[in-house]
Amino acid sequence: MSSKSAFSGFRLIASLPIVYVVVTFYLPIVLMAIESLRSGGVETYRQVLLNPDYLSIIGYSGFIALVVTLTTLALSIPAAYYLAFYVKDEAQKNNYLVAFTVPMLVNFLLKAYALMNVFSLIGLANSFPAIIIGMTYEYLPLMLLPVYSTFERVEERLLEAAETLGARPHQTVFRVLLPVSLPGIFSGVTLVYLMSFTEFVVPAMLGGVYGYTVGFLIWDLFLKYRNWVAGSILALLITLVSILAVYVYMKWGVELEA
Amino acid sequence: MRLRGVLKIYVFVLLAFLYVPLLYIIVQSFNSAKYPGEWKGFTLNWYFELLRDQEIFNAMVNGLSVAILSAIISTVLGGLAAYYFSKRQEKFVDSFFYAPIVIPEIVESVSLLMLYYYAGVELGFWTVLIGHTAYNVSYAYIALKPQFQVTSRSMEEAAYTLGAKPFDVFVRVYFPLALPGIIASLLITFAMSFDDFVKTAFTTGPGFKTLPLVIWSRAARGRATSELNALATIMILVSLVASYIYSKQTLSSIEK
Repeated sequence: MSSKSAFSGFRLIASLPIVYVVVTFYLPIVLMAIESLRSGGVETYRQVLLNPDYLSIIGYSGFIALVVTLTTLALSIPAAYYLAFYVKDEAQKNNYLVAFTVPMLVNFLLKAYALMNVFSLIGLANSFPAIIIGMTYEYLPLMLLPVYSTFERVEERLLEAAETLGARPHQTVFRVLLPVSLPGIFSGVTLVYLMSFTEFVVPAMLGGVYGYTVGFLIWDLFLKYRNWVAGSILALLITLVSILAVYVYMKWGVELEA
Repeated sequence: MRLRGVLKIYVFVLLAFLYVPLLYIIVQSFNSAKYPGEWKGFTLNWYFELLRDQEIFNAMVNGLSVAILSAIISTVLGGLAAYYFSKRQEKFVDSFFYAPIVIPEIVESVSLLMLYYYAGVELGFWTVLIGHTAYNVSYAYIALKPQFQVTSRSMEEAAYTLGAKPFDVFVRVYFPLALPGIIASLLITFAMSFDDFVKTAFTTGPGFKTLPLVIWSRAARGRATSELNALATIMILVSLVASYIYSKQTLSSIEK
């Protein structure tokens, strides 16, 4: 038996995972696209996408995502700066990175639940700030790691040169460091924006009436109102947004090492 | 120099922000008050209460059985794909497997629910297992492909020259070399399934609950309880230990 014919037999087995993913992932999305066109076609799309209630929820989700993205970015830059330029010892640097990565891997529902406890203690439960803090908590490491990894690659000589030429610290940061680190910042921003735009469990748990985002709307349209057509249209919309974000990310972002 | 000190304090404050809520839950799980808040004395009562809680026990068994099966099935399927495509330069295959990870989970979940509905299947254990495995195949593929790529073609050819059959090559050359990737794949897919909330919520039927669903329904229904805190503490500690080992390993492998 030549190894070649054995390999063509193997090809059959190797197609199994492809078939599995096609049936359980791609086929349902095609099905959803068909469902969205079932009643009224383009006219229904127009109605759903121009529905003022839906639009305001989509806009609100976009606004929350924007605030969360900016908050995590602002919090990440100083920490990334410290880790990249002030911690010289590799082992120590590693410990810091592990410390920031570990909470990221704790179940998000548990983290939201933990925050819910703390918020009800300090009287912040079911409020808009609770949502922002909760999602910042969730996504901070996701922003910090890409920003840190580009800072790490910036030549320190570049910053020293700026200082030698008389730049003040804030000038060095805003006019040298941040511009050369744009790809990393860009990666973090796309990642966090995309994740927080579609996140709905954390806001629902922490925000009470303020926590109604587009993800929850889709949830309700399917499980509560049984309006599958509208739900499908909105789900396709956020699919499109995510594909776009990933495309932008691959084009302009950095490759993450971890 | 002063900036350095300020930044160092800042980093510690940020870490405190990440860890204090988790610590708070852990401490409160030993509070003898029924609801967390005011400290009423130390107790282990809530942990015993957990053992007696049938709903939580069932949910744990359900979650474990789905997660273990899903980890094994997806590692086999993802491994097959990773092995087969590690030697072929087909860019589109990578995108094909990345998509289930990139697309928001809510979209995957509602569309799969539709498929189940039109196929007329009864929702429960199997539908949850199939749903988790749908994205886990991709995680396994990503974890395993680099491992298979490392095993060079010359090594494979050497094995063939020495008279090995294709199956032997896989079992005795590829498999041992890919073992770290296989372990990583099993861990990731297990965790993804065990922690899953959104997909489980959409693809489960009456009576089949996992721990995240129980936490969600109890926490959303009313408020935090000390018993729930005990459950959360166990889950947090397990994932802290697992993720510590995992991130220590991946970070140290980057350096090499």
